[in-house]
Amino acid sequence: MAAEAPRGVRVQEPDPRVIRAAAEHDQAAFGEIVRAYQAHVWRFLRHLLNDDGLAEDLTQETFIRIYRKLHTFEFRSKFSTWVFNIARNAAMDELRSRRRRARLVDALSTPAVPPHDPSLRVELEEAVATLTPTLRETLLLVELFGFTYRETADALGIPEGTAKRRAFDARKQLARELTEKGEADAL
Amino acid sequence: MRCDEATERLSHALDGGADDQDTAALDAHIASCSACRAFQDSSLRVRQHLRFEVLSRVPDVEPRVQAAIARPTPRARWRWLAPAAAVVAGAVAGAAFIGLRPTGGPDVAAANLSGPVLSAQRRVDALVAQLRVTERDWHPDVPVRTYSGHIDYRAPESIAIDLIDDTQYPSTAWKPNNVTTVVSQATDWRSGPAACPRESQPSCTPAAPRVLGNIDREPFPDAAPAPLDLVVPVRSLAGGGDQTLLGSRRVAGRSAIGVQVTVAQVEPLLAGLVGTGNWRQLYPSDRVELWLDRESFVPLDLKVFPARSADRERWAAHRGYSDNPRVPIVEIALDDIRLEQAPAADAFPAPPPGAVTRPLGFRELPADQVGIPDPGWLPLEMAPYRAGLVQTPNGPTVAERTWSDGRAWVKVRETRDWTGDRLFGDLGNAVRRIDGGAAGTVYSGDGGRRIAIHGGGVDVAVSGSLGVDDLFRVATSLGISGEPAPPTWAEASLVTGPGAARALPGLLIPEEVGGFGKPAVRVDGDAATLTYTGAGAREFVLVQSRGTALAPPVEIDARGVDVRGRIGRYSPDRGELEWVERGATFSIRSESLSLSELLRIAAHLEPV
Repeated sequence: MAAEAPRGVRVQEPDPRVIRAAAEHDQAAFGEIVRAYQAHVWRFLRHLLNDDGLAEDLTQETFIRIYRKLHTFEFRSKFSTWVFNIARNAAMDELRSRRRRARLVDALSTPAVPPHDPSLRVELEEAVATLTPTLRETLLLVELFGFTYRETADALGIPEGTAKRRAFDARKQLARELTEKGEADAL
Repeated sequence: MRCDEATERLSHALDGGADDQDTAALDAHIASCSACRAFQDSSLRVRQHLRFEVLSRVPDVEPRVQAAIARPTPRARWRWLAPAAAVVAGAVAGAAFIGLRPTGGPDVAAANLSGPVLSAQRRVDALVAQLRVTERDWHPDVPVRTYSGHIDYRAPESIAIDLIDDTQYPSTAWKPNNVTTVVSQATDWRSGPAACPRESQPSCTPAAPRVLGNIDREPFPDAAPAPLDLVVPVRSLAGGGDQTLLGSRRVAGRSAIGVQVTVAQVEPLLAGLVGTGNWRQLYPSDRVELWLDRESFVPLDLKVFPARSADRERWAAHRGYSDNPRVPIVEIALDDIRLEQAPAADAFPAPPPGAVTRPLGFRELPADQVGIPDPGWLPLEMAPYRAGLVQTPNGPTVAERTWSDGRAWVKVRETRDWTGDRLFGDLGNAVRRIDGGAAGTVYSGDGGRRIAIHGGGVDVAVSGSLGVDDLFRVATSLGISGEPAPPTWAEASLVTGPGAARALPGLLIPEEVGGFGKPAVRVDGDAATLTYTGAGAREFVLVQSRGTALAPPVEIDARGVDVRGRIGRYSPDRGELEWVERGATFSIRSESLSLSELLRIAAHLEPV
């Protein structure tokens, strides 16, 4: 291949004993899980929602849901994909919720760009923000955390082939957006 | 090679899926294709940006999460009850019974058992019985497991359940599923093997059982409820509307009546047995045939049959179960039942050495030292039970008093330093605001089984196994004048049904929902949320908001269904039915109701 893809740090899987202890309401064990995953979950949600504050609220909500559902985790999938499935569902539930509907619709359609970011970052975040939520969540799992298509499919509850297709569609749209942006800037 | 093919392979290769066969051809194409190079360049830039982004701040949510989970959930789910929806079994032929009101068609008998069950619980002071349990299809190599044991109960909340696994396993590598649960006033503990997936059996089950418990336990704690539905199934049957009656026969030498319910409805009863240890999962809509002692309503015999529906079959296939709808997957039977015999002195042993116990912070005190006066009204013969203070590191100081009569109980909790942002008392999300007359504004949650009053400088919560009306009467006789929840609290947006109709013209609500109480209603902007609570774990949420299109589906298995004469969408994993009607979007969601039940609720929606 013409260029080498950079590899990031993968999300670590917790010790199964920690998961079991947390499922038995061991709060120290659950705290260990929260500390290990909260940054990952928050990153995923802030890119998905384009709203740091909302992402923080939903990160908290995600871990409350995880705590209440831990006893249903059956070790059939990776714990990390299960966590992101809950985070994604929490985001989708909020998307449908009444209180934050207007705010979320805005967030999902209009990129919220930090004012002090360099222009390249702004450009990329604007492009990612143009993706539909389904394409965006797929791309984020693949790119933020290096998930395989199988892991992405597990996290999103979709077939592996769909994950692969969505990652490609997302990249196609990003390429189009960034190319158009580049051409517009050149004028 | 075409550009589409090249970029798709490039995308796949970026994710580690490259094959070496045509790498040269791909590289050659990219070298000669500016569009493909732009695709590659933009993909790598996005990856570089996302995967290696510099974060100036990452929020620490752990303290807030820990504070939130320290509050118990009123309707906790159990690992054996997998959230999903399923079909409700059809009507079963039966007969009319003396003392029970027959309803329905000529071949169906039904009755509302709420009153008889609530009344019967006050007559049960003790129970000693033998237990037999059969469990099928826990594992392909162990198709049937059998258990024997006993149950001992002393009113109001001391209970011991001991089950010995009699199964002949294929080898000694398999660990028996021996389980014990003991609740004895200020202490409780449970012992059993840690759960692990059936695919990993037998190696994943630890050799030694896990023993967990609580000490300094307040009376009737939300965080560690005693499995009292095994004695009289109050939570499972009271408030459940009309039950389908199966008939009358003798069970274990006693006159019994049978009812047909679902696993979700008898969750509080089943949880007492299969909530500890390593058991197979049950589906919320699995059909339960429950036979009860006609006089005391003690459960004598219970059989769980797989529900018949495509969603249930899909659920079973996903977990590897090969259930036969005609064969019970769990059977529980009581024998040698003695209702008036006090349990032996050693029936409720202390936790064994090595048990991991958690202090719940309760300190017992004489009733006259906790600062809670007698309610102005209590049901006859209710006698004072335990009283004291609960003090936990992150929580307010809470004074408590309790009263009981047989298995029936009522608890009043009071605090003067509540700093939460919602009502004190863990009323959950399904909260109703009620005009309490002289008692001011009163809030009711969990189907009326919890009452909260926010007064000047004091917050009070009342809970118990009484009927909804009796509990309300106790709460409003405490002499506290309730005020509306402050505007910043979660309950501030609660309204009544008419209030919701004013806020959202055209609102539809179910004309009649058998088995559910009045809804908790809240309005947020242009959306109304109505939460209905029934017996056991039965609950559904109806959301209506202005709109002309549904949001994209979030579930791959979502499918079209006919709802109210129009095309709607059903998402089985979410248990959600959605459609658009009259310029509004509708959603009915439940983890415990089947699609047919959701459709029936939808069919009964009428303008307010």
